[in-house]
Amino acid sequence: MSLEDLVASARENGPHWDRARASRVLASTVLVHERRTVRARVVRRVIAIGSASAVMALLFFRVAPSSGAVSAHDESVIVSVDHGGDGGYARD
Amino acid sequence: VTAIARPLALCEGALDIESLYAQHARYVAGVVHRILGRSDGEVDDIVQETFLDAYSGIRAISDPLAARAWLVTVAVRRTRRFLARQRRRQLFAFWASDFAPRASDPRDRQPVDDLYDVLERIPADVRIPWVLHRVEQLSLPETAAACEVSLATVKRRIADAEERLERRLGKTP
Repeated sequence: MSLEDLVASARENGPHWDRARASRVLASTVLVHERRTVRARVVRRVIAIGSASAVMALLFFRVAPSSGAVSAHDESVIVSVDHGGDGGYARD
Repeated sequence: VTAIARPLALCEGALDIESLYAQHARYVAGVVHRILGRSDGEVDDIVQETFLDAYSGIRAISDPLAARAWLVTVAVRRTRRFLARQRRRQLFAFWASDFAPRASDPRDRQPVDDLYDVLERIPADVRIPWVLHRVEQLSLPETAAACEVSLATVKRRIADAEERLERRLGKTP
C-alpha cells in the first residue's frame, strides 16, 4: 500500500467521540479544575498566613531586646598593663 | 480559507469553557488521536489537560476566532510531552514496555496500523508536524504555529518524516 493510501486511511481514522465520552471528559475536566482551584486557594492562604506570621515574629524578636534593661556590657573596660615604661631594661 | 480558520467562523461570542469545549473538543480529540494513532484513555487525558490549560489561558486570547488554533497548539504541546514521557519510560523500563500488537487478531489489523507502527519509530518532533500537515491537512504556517517552530524548521521536519516513512514503508513487505 502506498504512502498516499495510508495517509488517506489515517484521515478517515477518527476517534469515537460520542456525546457520552464528551460529557465524561468535560465532567472530569471541571472536577479537576475545581480541585486545583481549591488547592491553589488553600496554598495561597497558607503562604499569606505564614508570611504574615513570619513578619510578626521577626518584628517581635527585633523589638523585644531593645525594650529590656540596659546591658551590663555596654561600656567596655580597657585594661592596660604597665610594664614600667623601660622596655624591660630594669631587669638587666 | 484554511483548515483551521473554516470552522472558526462558528465560534464567535463569549469564550466560556463549556461552549469552547462543545465547539472544539471533537476536533482537538481528532488531532490528538491522529498524532497518537490510537483512541483510548490517553486521548481523553490529553483533551482534559488541554481544556484545563484553557481555563487559565483563554482570557489571554483577544480574538475568539483564534481559539481553535490556540487549543491545537496546547494539545500538540501536551501530546509531545506525553510522547516524550512514554519514550523515557520505554528507555528506562524497556522490559515493562507494551509490545502488544495494535490488533489481537491479524485479520482485524487496519492498513493504517502499518503507518502508525512506522510513525512510532520516528521522533515526536518530526512525527507531529508530518501528521498535522499531511493527515490533518493544516497549512504549513498553521503547522508551524501549532508546533511552535519556524516555517523553515517545520518544512525540514516534514521532509525528514516523509523520507523516513518512504524508506521504512518501502522495506516492509
